[in-house]
Amino acid sequence: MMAEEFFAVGKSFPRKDSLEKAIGDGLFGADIRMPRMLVGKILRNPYAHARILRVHTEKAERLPGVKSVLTAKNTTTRPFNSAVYQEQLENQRIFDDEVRFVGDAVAGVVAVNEEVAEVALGLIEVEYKPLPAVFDPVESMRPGAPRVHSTPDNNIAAHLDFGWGDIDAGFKEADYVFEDTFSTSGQKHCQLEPDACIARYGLDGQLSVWTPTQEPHITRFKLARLFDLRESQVRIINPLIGGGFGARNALSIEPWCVAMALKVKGRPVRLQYTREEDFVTRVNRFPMIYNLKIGVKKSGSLVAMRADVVADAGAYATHVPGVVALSGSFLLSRYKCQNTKFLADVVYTNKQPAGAFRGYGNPQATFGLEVMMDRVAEQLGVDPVEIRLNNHLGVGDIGLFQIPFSSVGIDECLKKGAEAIGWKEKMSRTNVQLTHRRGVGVAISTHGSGGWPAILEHTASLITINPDGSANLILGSTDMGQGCWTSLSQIAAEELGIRFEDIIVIRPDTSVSLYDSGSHASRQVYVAGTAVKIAAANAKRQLLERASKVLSVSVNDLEAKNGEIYIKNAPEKSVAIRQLAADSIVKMGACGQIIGRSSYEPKSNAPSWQATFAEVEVDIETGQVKVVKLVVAHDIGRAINPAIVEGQIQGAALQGIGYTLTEDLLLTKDGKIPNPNFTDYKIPSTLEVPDIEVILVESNDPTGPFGAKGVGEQGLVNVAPAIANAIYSAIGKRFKELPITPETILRVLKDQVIQ
Amino acid sequence: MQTHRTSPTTFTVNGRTIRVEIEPHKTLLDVLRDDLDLTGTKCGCETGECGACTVLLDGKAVLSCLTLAVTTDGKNIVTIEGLSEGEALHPLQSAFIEHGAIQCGYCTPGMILSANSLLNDNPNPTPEEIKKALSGNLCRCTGYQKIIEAVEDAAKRIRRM
Repeated sequence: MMAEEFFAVGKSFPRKDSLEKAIGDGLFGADIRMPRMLVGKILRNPYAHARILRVHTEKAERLPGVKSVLTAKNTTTRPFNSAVYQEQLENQRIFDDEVRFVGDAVAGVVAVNEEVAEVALGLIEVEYKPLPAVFDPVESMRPGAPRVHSTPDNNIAAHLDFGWGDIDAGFKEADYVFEDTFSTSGQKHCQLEPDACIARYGLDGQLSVWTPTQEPHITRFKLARLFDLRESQVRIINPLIGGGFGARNALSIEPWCVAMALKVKGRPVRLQYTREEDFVTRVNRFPMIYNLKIGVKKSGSLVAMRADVVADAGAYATHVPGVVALSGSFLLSRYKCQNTKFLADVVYTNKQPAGAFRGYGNPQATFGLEVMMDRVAEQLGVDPVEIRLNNHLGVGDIGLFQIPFSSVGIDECLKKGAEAIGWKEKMSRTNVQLTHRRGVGVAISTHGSGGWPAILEHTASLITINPDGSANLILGSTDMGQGCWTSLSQIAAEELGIRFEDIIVIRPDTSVSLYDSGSHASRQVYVAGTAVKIAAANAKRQLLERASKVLSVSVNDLEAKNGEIYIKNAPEKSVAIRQLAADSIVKMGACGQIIGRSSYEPKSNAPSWQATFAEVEVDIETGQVKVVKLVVAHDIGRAINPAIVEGQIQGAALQGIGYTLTEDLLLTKDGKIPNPNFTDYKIPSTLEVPDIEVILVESNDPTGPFGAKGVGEQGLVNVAPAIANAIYSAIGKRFKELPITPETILRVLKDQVIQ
Repeated sequence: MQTHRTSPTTFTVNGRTIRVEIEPHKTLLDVLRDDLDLTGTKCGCETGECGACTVLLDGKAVLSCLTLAVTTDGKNIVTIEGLSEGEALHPLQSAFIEHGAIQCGYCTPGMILSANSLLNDNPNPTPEEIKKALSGNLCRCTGYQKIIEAVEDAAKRIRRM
């Protein structure tokens, strides 16, 4: 079916929540005001690793205005894992008698206002016994390295070993073997809103939490487990959310805020992090060292692929082994190859914990693999576009988590992208004599729409028809800015046959919303979208049955569109949905309110594909890299809302440019982050925006709602190798470490001159 | 509880003259959000690096997190809540909505007010001038392209008004 046949799908409607955001009316966590609200603050530790001998809280407790002081002595020390699912490895604690990174929580204060809380923190005296610390994951695995936790004694949180075929035979069969080591940095999410959470534990035993979590239902489960409550006692409400990107995956600030609320029953407590707290204590992208080895035949086909990975988990297990396991899956589910091996150690160090971040292990895998594919192409004398066209997996091939691909639009992405950047002409350009040298590069990737069958994928959806013919779409789906409330409304409108404007989104609140696994893994449109479509079809069926009585025709002869149900062959005969809806609620003797429902688990993960083409200009005197143009061609399946899809891809691409060129959390010798602010940790501003051209390829996936697949993450995934390959084409140097800074470029160019 | 000496300060906020007792260490951001409940002005860093707290002070964009509230005595302040007139949106607000320039929306109030300050001085800016004027307002969602397009479009609409 062509997009023109739809009336709600495929249109760039304004977002459901953009008016309130444009006028300053919408409430984010920190904007919520409540009567008798108290504020919380956390005391943080200055050592990379230390034992806490004693915490003296008496002076702080005596300060007027202080309501409670929390330590490991009076707060649950039950271990938890903040990440979505992953209950098998729990070693985070609200407060502990050992601190494992600079900024780890030591104590908390609840007070009448921020100032009092701040003063109270200063009155808490802590006796520490500093312990040896380790920051480098490779060093951390060596015998005799300081232990981050009492177990395991080698600091290895998880070891992964998977693949297929015979890897040794594969390399024997190869005509060429390529091997390289790549390393990637610990990028920060830098969502513009620092974490802010409000929790209130009522005297009736009901805990309410207003939090920017990306997974309200899983957060409810995790908080109930941590505080020994029944899930029905816990209510999670999403205010507006100032960005997520994985930072708000399941638990973030909530355990501390809830612990505080439990100390002052009946009164709401607001806990808000500063930007520095966000930088220093919250999760970052897993840094990984990727040793990659590929065996290739003269014909250009891949016969062996092996990765040996060391991943830096930081001080605690969050997404262990999730991010690293998926990194391997993304690595091996792109090109045809009969013999593969993925070996990884996920290692603790005395640094802030790593976690989920847009791409979930895919950017780390893709950086190495796509730079290496460029080397392979060069060695074989094949065009880099060609080698990708020849080797990528196709429809029916086994893909992510052993599920066959249901749609693969990467050929179209590569061809249209190459055309748009002027690939052929720019690849043959020579510019060695210039100080500003231009080059172009390409990279591809594929990313799942949801995580089935590796993880639970469940969305239940509820649609109720109001007496005026509008519909309440009751969502458990978090919108952290990605726009799913709007896209899901379009799916509901299209299926129900009512106008987009008549869909009213009831926002995530676990006391009302049915179960949803949450906003991660680019899953909302693909999984929740299907759940919404089924619920809408269920409600529509009930409307059609009523209409068939009014119009005296069979249900099969009817169609719904724009709020009217009409006879297919005689469209002038119709009845308004408004009338049917009113009858269903208030017509005596005819009541039967229309409620559409679904409870849905997908049977596929419909990966989307992306080709990114970068054109860069390298200043060989300063080492500065300017991204002149990016062309991002994305096989989206179907764009439910093209403007939203473009916005996702543009935003992700710029985040990818930051990952490639500027963003890096630094570390001092004693384990402190010296750049916990936007001046020293440089995310792209308007001045770094290149011309980004987005090309949407609609492969119309047979398993997605109206053919749609996920789009949230992949925009970022292959930007780094596309730029790295473009830099190579400009100056003939390969960079294997992220970020690629002017200093590293100058160092490499200088070495060349000396030689 | 601690108490501080306060200074009476009178300023105009969104067209209303307001007199408040202000503690000398309080920032304009604190006063707007905590004393006047104008929570449309956002706090992203408190160190003047992200631009989320931008408001207009006598028509110019300033960072309210770096502005001591007592220094605004006698001045005219416009926050995002005061930009629209009644129910009619400011052209920047309409353009941001229509161009998909808003994702999470946390940077939006500051971004719109910085753009407003630019358009007050330069009703017909080039994309490069828009980028320069908005370079102190960070956005982590959009990649800025739709924001720049929205400002260009709003400038057109204002010029036609």
